Amino acid sequence: MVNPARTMSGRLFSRSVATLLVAVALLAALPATLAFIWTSIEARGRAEAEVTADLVTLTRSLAAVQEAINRQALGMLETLRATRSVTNRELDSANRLFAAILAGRPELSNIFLTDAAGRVIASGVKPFADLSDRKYFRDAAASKQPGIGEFILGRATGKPILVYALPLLDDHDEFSGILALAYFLDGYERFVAGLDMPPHVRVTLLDPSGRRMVAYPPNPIYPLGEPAFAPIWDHVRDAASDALTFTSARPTGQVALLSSLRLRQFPDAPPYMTIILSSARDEAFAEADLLLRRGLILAAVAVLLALALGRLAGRAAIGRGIESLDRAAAALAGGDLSARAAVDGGAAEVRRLGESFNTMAGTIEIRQQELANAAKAMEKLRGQLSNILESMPSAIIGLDAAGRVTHLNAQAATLFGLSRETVMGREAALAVPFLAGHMDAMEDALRQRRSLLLERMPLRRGDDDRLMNMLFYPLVANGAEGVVIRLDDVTERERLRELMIQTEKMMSVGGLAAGMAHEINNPLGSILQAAQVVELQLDPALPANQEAARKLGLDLADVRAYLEARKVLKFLAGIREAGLRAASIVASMLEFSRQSDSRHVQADLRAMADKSLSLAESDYDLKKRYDFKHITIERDYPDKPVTVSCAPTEIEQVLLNLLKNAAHALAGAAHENKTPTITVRVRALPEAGEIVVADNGPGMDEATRARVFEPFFTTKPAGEGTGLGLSVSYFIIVNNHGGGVRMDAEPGAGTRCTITLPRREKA
Amino acid sequence: MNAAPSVLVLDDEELLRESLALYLETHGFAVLQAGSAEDALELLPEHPCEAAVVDIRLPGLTGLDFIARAHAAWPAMRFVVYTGSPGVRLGPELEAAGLGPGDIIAKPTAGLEILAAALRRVLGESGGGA
Repeated sequence: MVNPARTMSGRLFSRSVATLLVAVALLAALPATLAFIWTSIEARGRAEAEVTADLVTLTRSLAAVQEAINRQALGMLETLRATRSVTNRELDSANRLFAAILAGRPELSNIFLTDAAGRVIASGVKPFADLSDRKYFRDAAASKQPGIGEFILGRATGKPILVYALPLLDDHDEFSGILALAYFLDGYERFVAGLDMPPHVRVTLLDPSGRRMVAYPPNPIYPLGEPAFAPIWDHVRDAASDALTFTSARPTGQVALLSSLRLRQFPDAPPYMTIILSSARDEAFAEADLLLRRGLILAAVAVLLALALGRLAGRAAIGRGIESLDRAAAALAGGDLSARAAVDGGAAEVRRLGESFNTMAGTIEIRQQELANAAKAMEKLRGQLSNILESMPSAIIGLDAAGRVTHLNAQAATLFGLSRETVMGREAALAVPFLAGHMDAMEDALRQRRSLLLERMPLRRGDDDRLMNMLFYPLVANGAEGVVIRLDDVTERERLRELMIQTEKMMSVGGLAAGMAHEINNPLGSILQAAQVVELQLDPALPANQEAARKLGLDLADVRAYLEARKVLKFLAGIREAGLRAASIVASMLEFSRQSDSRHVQADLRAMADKSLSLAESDYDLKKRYDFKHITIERDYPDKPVTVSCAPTEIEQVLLNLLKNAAHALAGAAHENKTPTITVRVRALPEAGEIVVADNGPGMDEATRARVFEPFFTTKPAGEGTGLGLSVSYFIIVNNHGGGVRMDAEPGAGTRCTITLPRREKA
Repeated sequence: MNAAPSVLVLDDEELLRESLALYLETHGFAVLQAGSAEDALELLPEHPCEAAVVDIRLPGLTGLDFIARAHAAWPAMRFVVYTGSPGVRLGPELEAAGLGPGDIIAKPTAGLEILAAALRRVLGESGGGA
């Protein structure tokens, strides 16, 4: 549910800072404005009251003046009534008296005397007229009381006048006419003009019928002699009280404040005059309104100033900082990590905000830099790791938890004859058939979370069986599940190990042989020597034999024939040969027990090679079995001696062995247009001397090659060779001299045996 | 033809000793046989020999003891060691008695002619004794 208030406030406060500031300034200006308005309303009320009071005062003043005039006028009339001229109706003197008075009193229009019928009989001004129709005359005649006339135009002067009439009574108290006094009403105007009044006040005097007698200031809208504005007149006429203050509309539509007062000669007499003072309320309010206007203008100016200042200050304090921050943030969001907000100005919060932003941006930039560095380092590390993986002699295959290939290094690709592209991402059991038989081991390693080693797993590669050590190493770190398989070709190592085992066996055999050699050799010697002596004793050429035969009467030739017929001689030879072979085996077995007791001397490999070659040439066995003379010997020697530390006779024995083997290989092969050749090469290495005996014979297959150093391993027919030659050679070189022997061979490409001997005896 | 050179065959193995003696006699040597060093040392003063084929492993005195004593008594006498023991090497004592590397022959030998040849060699080296 959306909270409406929050939505509204959210809408309100989601405006820009500038808008909010304006709103705040306006809100702040509102009370001041209201105060101005309220003050002005108060001022208006006050002004209205003041104007009304002024009007009442003026009204009363005017009423007082009018009453003074009334008393003066009636007083004068009563004085004149008492004069002889009037009393006696001495009309000429009366005319003169009246004219004289008029001359001194310009405000007076006329003084006159009428008869009972209303005809003027004496007057200060000519011509006389009949005034019987005038109200003042009728009132005076009817009431025999002084009367005040209504608004009239003087018949003598033609000007608006006000007439005071005093009834005249004869001796019988009968009405005999009136003595009257007429005032020019324009005198009122002058009087009112002379009063100190507010300029906007309008003074109106109305006669009893409501016609304007005086209207000041003069204005065509308010013509004299006409009925007053009806609403006002009706209000005044019908009011219960003589004195009134009220508000009414003027004929112009203006609202006016009015003060009125009905004047009466006696309390019960009908009003003879009504005074109305008015003032336009607008004018009364003018000052207050002016104040209000000024106030409002001031307030408006103040607000505008506040807005301008607020905007400027806001910009200075907040806006600029925020804008800078906004720009920087936008730039940062756009990826420009070097964007920074300006923090040199503005309000403390904004500066702090800017500084915080800058710190944050700095942190981000540093973090980004660190990330970039880390990525670079990671890339480098990845490269190094890849290098390491690729440089390792082991074949490495990485599998994920589902058994798919995730890594295959070059060695692995070579080992299985696979291309990396066809294997990556595929199921290992399908992509690398060799692994199919070992998936259980992989799963075990993964499940038990420990590495698992399978040793000497046979891998058939063509007709070449290899032995592989397989290490399954579960990947459990960092949640990445999978298995790394390391495959090492241990074929050579295993063969060497086998050889070592054999060798150790032979050494113990050798030790045994050494212990019992004497016991074997003596009987062997007896057999051999006895056999040889038997042959000797049967030799028909020996005189001692002939002598012995002759003594016994035997024919030696017959004896000989018999021995040959019964193959005794052949068996004798067989005894000798078998004995010799046994002796040779014992001698060879003794080699395994021999410590290098021969003293090591510095000897030239070239000389030893030559000696061995000459031994081979003269070797009875070689001569007998192989056609050594028909073998080409190539010597590849350097000019300088290649000296090594060795027991020369032992090395010569080894070399002779190798030469015999080479000769045997060459003899056993049918050479197709190839000159049977043995190459003896001597070479100086930095720390060792190297001698190579190579032939161009039929070579060997790998299976044979790998076993040539094994004791009793022989390719010669049974009865030929002891199977100990190369293993004895191996022992002499490796055990007695700390050197190395390597046999290289390929079918059809000959055999090459390389011996290295250290230049100096090892400590 | 000069008188046959007299040589001593010292070996405790009778068949070996007799067969070698028979061979050497057949090939022109005058042979004195002894089954032990003690017997040989007893016989030699009366039957001087120019050379001796000596087995090393003997009952009583060893062949080496015999060579040392015989050499001390008859410095002109020459020796060939003929032994089936693998531990016999040309040491200072044997060198002092005039033996060289070729004078130690492993038993059994391929042919008795090797011993005959060795004897002729050492006798020849001894110079004008003949």
